[in-house]
Amino acid sequence: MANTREIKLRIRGVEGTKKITKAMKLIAASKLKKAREMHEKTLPFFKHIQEVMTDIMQSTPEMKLIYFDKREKKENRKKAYIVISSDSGLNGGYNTNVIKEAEKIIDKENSIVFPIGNVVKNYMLKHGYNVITELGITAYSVTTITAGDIAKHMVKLFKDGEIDELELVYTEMESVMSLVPHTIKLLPLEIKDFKVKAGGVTEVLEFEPTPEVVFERLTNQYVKGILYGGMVESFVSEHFARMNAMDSATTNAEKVSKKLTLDYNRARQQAITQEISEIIGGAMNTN
Amino acid sequence: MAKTFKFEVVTPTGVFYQDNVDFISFKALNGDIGVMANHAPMLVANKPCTLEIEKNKEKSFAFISEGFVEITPEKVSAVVDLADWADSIDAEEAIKAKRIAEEELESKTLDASRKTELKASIERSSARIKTSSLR
Repeated sequence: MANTREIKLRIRGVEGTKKITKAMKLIAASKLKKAREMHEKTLPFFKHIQEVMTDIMQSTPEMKLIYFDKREKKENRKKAYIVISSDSGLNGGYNTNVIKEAEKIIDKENSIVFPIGNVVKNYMLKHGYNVITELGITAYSVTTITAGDIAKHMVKLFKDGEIDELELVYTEMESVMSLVPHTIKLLPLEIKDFKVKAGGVTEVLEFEPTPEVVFERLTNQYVKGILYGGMVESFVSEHFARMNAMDSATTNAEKVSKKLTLDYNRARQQAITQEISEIIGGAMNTN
Repeated sequence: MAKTFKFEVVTPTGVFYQDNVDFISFKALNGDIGVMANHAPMLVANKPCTLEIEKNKEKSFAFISEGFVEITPEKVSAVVDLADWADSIDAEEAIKAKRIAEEELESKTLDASRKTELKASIERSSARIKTSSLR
């Protein structure tokens, strides 16, 4: 009978989907774990950089640094944003939330957007933002090397006066239940981010070749550190969102499959009952 | 016995080296710098170069990339992007990378930023090759 066969086909389809979503969930879970481990390894490096920058400001407070210059008086200030999304969908509300946050803060006229990940890139291009895609970074290349390349590029743009402010839009996993999009400032640097103790000079530090050269290097590394942190946090959020989405998809597939099996059995039984009554009816007629 | 000092090499992929050593040397932007115990506090930007570590009269060599070295009375730390022991460097790979970068530098008309990039890459490869010959 056609009915039972149709149901059987649907059951097979749903079971297939279930297998896929289950596999995707496992993949997301393992990527999540790996990204976390990677992040933990990098922490001492960036902590060190922050400490050294604090040391410098402590020992040479008179140093005027361009990286702290807010350029408030400049006309036509240009803001730049780095927005991190994923490369593909199937991760619940992850991308939508980041894009919503970005739309809220980005002023289309005077800003440039550096997208990381395909979803946000395509969206921004479609909606008339000034998008710079030359970095060509996808969300899957989360390494300190890519973060370093972006940081170097940004610090240079800032130094050359092409951008006056740089912000990062990313997603943070605040708890198991909530993934929240955040915006943080990367440049110019804020003095309050470094715990410079009042009272000034603690020890005299020598610089080789000059404080400026050393500090520029540090700024690169510092921006890289924050950027990398944001990238990892986003990556973790993405895979967590995907894991959840795939988990509920698997549960739903199970439910559907259960219901279909029930329907299938009912249809099968009905067919048998009908056949039996037909046989009996036929036998009674011949007698 | 000579006085030792705490020395560490920190990279983004973790702490590469950590021990009490007698002497280290590396290349700063304006020349070589050697550090022994009780060195004056200093902050040095370093070139990609060979890092020499001496401990108990035994020398070991490693490649370090661009970064900086912080010298304080308590300890000396090199904070760099990459670090590799001399014997784990793939010299052939480095030679190849250097050649490719050199060819690109010569053959095409390039903008300034790409040029500096290539020059930095050649410098890194050269330092790698040199380090690997010291194993």
